[in-house]
Amino acid sequence: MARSDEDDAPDDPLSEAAVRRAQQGDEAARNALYRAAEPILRAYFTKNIGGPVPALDDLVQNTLVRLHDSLAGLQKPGSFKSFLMKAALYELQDYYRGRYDMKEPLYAPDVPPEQTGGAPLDDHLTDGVPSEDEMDVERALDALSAKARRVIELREYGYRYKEIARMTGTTEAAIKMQVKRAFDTMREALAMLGGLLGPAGALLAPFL
Amino acid sequence: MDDLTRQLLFYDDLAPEEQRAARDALSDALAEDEDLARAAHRWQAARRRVARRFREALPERRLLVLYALATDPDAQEAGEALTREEERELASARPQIEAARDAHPALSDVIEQIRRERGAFEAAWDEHAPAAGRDDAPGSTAPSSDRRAADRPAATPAPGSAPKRRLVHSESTSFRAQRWGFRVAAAVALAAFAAVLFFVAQRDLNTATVTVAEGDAPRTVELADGSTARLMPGATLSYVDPETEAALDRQATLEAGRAFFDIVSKKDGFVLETPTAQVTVLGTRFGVRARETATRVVLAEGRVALASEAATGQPVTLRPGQASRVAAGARPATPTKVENLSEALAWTGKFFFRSTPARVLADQLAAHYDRPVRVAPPLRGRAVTGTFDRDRPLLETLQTVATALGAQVDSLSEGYRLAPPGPGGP
Repeated sequence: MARSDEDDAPDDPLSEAAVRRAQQGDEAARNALYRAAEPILRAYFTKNIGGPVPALDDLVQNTLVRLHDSLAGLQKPGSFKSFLMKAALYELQDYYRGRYDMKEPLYAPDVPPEQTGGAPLDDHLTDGVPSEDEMDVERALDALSAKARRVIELREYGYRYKEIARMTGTTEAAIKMQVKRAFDTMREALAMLGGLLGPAGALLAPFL
Repeated sequence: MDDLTRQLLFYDDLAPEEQRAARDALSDALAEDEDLARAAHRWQAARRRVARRFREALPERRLLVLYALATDPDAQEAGEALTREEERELASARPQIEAARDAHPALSDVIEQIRRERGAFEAAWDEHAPAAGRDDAPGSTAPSSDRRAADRPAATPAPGSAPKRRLVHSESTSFRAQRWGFRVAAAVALAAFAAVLFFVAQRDLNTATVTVAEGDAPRTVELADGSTARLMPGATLSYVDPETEAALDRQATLEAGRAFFDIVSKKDGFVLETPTAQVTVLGTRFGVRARETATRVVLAEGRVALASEAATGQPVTLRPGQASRVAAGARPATPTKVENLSEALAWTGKFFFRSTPARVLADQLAAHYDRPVRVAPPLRGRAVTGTFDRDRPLLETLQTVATALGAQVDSLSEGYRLAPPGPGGP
């Protein structure tokens, strides 16, 4: 049952009345709101990405920034829990998106060229006519199992392998083995097809 | 699985130091095994293609969250309803989301994971919210059906969206001061929750404005907190006068032009505004070009959040070596990797090297100074991180690099050579 503002406990910083006061510029209410939200967010992010990790403070802080920036627009102060939950979910998805950029991606062999600044293979396409590279990529794609594609896509979303394993109810070792099997299959297929080789030096370029 | 295969297939999962070792090992192995090199190349290309197709089909992540909540019976039962505005947004995006989900089964995994994350939030709330703030405690909110009935047609901005109260830059000093104070309060309250800042926010502030005329030399301005801004010709920067408002020293507005900021690290964030964007930073170094129509940010070090000043779209987070752009009235562009950081920030008068192989560094120095710079083979792949003034003598820069590498600088008849230390060397 909904309760009126007057029913709210005066020391409840997350109550509808307290949230409304915070929205209206009550500094004490606003500070109390942030103080109450902080441990919830910290526990939430710790649960989802583990901890302690350096990113934890950033995630909590960024979510509080989102909260601060949009609190005035919250039309139903009684929905604060849902409001905060969405802010935390958005922040977590953003974290996944940017997670791998924290490493040294410039020379990573398998970082998409759009992120590394390298020339994408599609640059080799001209006027819709597939190049030899393009045909090779399509062959390689054919060799990828559905499981391997799924792992690659989840990795692209930003999950770690152990998280993908947890999500799909298996182990990290099993996930990586799926990827290796796909690589082996593709390598065997290439060996059977024989060729369309570029110079070995060009093949090395992504790794140097 | 042998080490080489593991390094090849899961390079992205290695720690930075492991990546460095893997690069060397892979380089040797692929040079010796042409079949492996061919397979590695095709694997990389195939993987990139899968990733790119997924990325292109991937709906905006915020909408994915809304979709996951709207289609989660547990969320509905818990009263985690969408606002009317969110429902409208989702309705228009739903066909695209469901088409992408059908084409990419991994998206179903993502949606399911978001639902689990929602469940984790419920648990965190139950455990850590003050007792009186819990749903089952006095002061709780109405069931979802009641709350939905109370929804007003006017949209409730999502938590991720920027506020709707942006102000133009021709405002009075006192009005600007209130906005600055508001932002400072936002940043600092996150770290300290200090009520005094909200009091300070209401005060008028004295601002200093520096303009570097076209044709003048660049000028470096020191801000009150010790941060610096190197202003290029044509740039105008306003900031709180450190003589009068030392408490509000983490603010500046780049009205126009280009500037390179070196922001000292503090618990509270530094907020830089431009006509089209807002940049929230901790300790970091970045270059900004601000115009009335667009703002471009290139990040050299640290981390910044870039938001649209016009409350459009969600903020994006830049990592070192990335750039983004905010056009007037548009959302921030997805950050992209700059191919050559030093080149992208050449206008700052500095070189920026971040894990740059010594041979690449040497090429850039050689091109700038127009003198050959060679690197002995054992050093060519060694990574160098550092910042150097472009007007510094070449030999001084090379000596600094050599010190970092434990190497020495040999003078050649034309140019220099970085080499491992010889007898009597470092």
